[in-house]
Amino acid sequence: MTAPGGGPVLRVRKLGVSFGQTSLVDGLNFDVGRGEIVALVGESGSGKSVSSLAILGLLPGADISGSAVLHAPGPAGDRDGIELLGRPERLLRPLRGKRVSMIFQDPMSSLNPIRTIGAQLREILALHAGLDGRAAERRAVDLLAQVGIVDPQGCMRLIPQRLSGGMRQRVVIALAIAGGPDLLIADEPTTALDVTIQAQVLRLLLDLRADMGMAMVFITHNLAVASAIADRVVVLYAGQIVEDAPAAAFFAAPRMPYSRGLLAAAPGLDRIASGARRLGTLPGQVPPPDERGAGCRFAPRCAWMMPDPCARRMPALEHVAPAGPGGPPHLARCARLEEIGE
Amino acid sequence: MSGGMVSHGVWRRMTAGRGGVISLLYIGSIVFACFCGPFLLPFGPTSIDLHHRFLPPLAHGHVLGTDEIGRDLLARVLRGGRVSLIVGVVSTVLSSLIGTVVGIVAGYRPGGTRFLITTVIDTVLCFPVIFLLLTLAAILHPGLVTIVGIVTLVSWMEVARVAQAQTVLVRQMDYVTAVMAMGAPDRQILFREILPNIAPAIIVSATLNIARAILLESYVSYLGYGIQPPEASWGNLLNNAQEYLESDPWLAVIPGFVIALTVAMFNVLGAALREAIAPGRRA
Amino acid sequence: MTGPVPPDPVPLLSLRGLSKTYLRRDGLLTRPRAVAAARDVTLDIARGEVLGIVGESGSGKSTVGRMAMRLLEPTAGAVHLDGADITHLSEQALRPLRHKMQMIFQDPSASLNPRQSIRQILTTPLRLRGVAGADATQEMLETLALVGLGPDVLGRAPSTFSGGQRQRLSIARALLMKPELIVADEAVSALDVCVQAQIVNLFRHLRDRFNLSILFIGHDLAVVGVISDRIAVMYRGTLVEIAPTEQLFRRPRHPYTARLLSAEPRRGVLSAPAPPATPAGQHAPDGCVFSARCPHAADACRTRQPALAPVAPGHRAACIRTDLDLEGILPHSN
Repeated sequence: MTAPGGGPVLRVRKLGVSFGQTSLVDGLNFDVGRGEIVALVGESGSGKSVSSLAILGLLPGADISGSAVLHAPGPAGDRDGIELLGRPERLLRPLRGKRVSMIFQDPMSSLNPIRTIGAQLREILALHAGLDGRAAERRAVDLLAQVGIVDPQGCMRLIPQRLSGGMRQRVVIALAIAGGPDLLIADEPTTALDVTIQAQVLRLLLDLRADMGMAMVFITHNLAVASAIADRVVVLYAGQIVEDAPAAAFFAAPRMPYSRGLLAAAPGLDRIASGARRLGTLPGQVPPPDERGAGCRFAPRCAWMMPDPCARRMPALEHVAPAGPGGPPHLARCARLEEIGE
Repeated sequence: MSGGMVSHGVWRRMTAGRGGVISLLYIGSIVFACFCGPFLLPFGPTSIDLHHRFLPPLAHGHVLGTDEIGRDLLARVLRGGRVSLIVGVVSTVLSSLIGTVVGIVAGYRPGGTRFLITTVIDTVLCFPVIFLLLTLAAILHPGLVTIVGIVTLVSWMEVARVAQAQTVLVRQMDYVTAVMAMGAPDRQILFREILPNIAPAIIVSATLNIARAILLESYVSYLGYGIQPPEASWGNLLNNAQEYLESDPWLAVIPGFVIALTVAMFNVLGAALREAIAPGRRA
Repeated sequence: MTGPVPPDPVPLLSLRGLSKTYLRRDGLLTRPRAVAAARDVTLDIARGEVLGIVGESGSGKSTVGRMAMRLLEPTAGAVHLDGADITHLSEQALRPLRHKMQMIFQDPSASLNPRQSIRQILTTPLRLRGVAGADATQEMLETLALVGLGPDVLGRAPSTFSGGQRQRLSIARALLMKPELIVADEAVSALDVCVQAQIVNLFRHLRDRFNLSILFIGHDLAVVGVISDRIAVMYRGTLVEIAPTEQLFRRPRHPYTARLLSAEPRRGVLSAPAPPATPAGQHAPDGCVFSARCPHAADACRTRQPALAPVAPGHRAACIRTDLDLEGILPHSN
């Protein structure tokens, strides 16, 4: 499970999140390689946002188990990485924005509505890059230019209200990358944007990855967006990973029946060309957290379900095919992978 | 009907909190005491006993003592409470009806009608209520009906404002638009779609208004323009007591305390109702 | 469906030059200025046709839908239903015609009255049609079955349903009016992929079964494309192109449509060169609405908004650059 460039930036193992008796997410294992874009895909209630918030210690009141280790070269010289889970807030805060940043669907949630963009950028730069005065000013303008703002100088003097939604999201990205993080967690960052603006923001994120070598966890419910940006796709269903595959392999041939159902339900453009306008549907709905059985959580909705083993035992997340040496692994959670085939 | 389910939830949430339970218990007791109490007491509220004037509390079987002509203070406080509660509740019911109708019309009919109504509401709200009240009371013949009338007249605006704001909010909900698109008559849209959804806010506003109305009645009667002696009301008990404030302070302290407590309890009830109803509004 | 839609002698719904203008005041002391939410929109919907309207936020697509429903008064233009002009009918006169057009909304949590049970909600349309008693119950159950719900839902409150189920209930309520046209305004946008697919299929099924016309308004080109026979593209209040779906995807004739198609997220799209940078800003007041962002804008584009003109059978575009060969996202078939 090693990504190119010597070990993953983030290694998540057995991550579990629960509130009281209700377990939202359990047994999550995934890696994010250096400079890799991993799409965390799932429907509402799949646990995709909860997992990322838990990793960053942003879920007060939740019981979080497992481990999430951030490997980032830095002055701390952490060869063993930094364990994020259970880390006290005092020690977590310096990491946020500097080593790992997060952006959300609503850009206004991360912007102070009554302060200028310039003031907010300078503050971040003072905090994470130790810059002030002229140097901070110059760097702030550079950052705004880097995220594609046409008149960065003018933008510095504006309050967020004066910007369009797309521009706000660019400013949020500028704030997020100001500390030069190794990992950016983006939670539905383009969902609220118009499609032409979405394309620009996605392109910007790809450019930033190329320039800074920044890895990304990209959380989305939109498979088309995932297919446009991701190197790897991790599919969540009812609080578990059900498939983890290189994007090309995933979109060519998803293996887990739920992934197949998800792709069949998505209104792709190829469908319009072929004239097969009817969308695939899955019966039933995602089971709520307190109605998850002992067997495969997708079994009640699965066309390939067999009473034994599907309804009785939880299948493990296993290699679909023996990956070649150094080749990217493709994992799926299904007891009948071989029988179902591609 | 789902209204039943909703009010059941409201009742449960109301009685789950301390404020709700205490205020309901108090209001229940004071209502019972004011309306049934006088029949259980050995003394009438207007029976004069010149041998027992200015008795302190607990003397000669007078629990709260007697006034300057020997009338039992407890009987008078309860009798006065009946007047105050009637004024508070009746004027609130009337002003809520007026306010709801005016507010709904203003909220439902944008344009000229709304402008006119909001202007009137704002203008009336600009008047200092107490002077308006006194002016009216001075012109009109004092009495129960008059006082109910004038308290109503100066307190419908609050409810109207709440009703208007809520109507504007609910009117633009998709479920109302859907029924409009079916060609439903206005009457049906107002009574079946809008009214049930703004009712909770109006009930909260009305509960708070009861407290205000009781206070207003006390002001007016205290100043001598309201309920006239020998009939008792909480306000004129105070008026009467001010002459003897130094020698016999309980005559003022006791009605004053009852007024303050009752007003406070209606406010607590209103706050508890608001809390209890809020989750229903979100659904 | 590559051929033109057969011309309908009388389209079910016909919008003629519809405009909606709002007066907006930028500051306390400035003179209010007119902002066009929709400008001179003309389109027809045939019986049994699904017509999609796509556009980004502020394109005026919802405004057009509400004007078509006569829920919003147009500033200019006309709405014809079944050949009759209903633009200036009073609410009273409109009432008997209202049932022909019903609407489905975006937000499932706001589309059902939270203080009524499902039975009460579904009784409203039946009562307006004068159906009562056993007939009403029977029709209610049949319609619920049609949208995939059972009789057990009748006693429940709206808050006990998921988003997808609420949309089904909204559709059932609309169907109980026996409409001929349904205006679906972003009706599947708030739903998860799998539920969205179910509702999209349901709409197509209803069209096939009842020969319903559907005006399907949305921002997601793929969703609108999957369901629509024809698509109208709107930009800043103006209808810029209208064509049969596949034709529009294969060979757009308006540069804005081409821009929209090229932005559609799909595998490999981001590795293609970015479309030329387009300065934001106001287009010339009289010029084409897209001229400020258009990479192909000529001088003439800044002086006048071109009218929607036929460019191919069943295909109209509001662009004077008919010489352009714009890139679609489906392979050219011919």
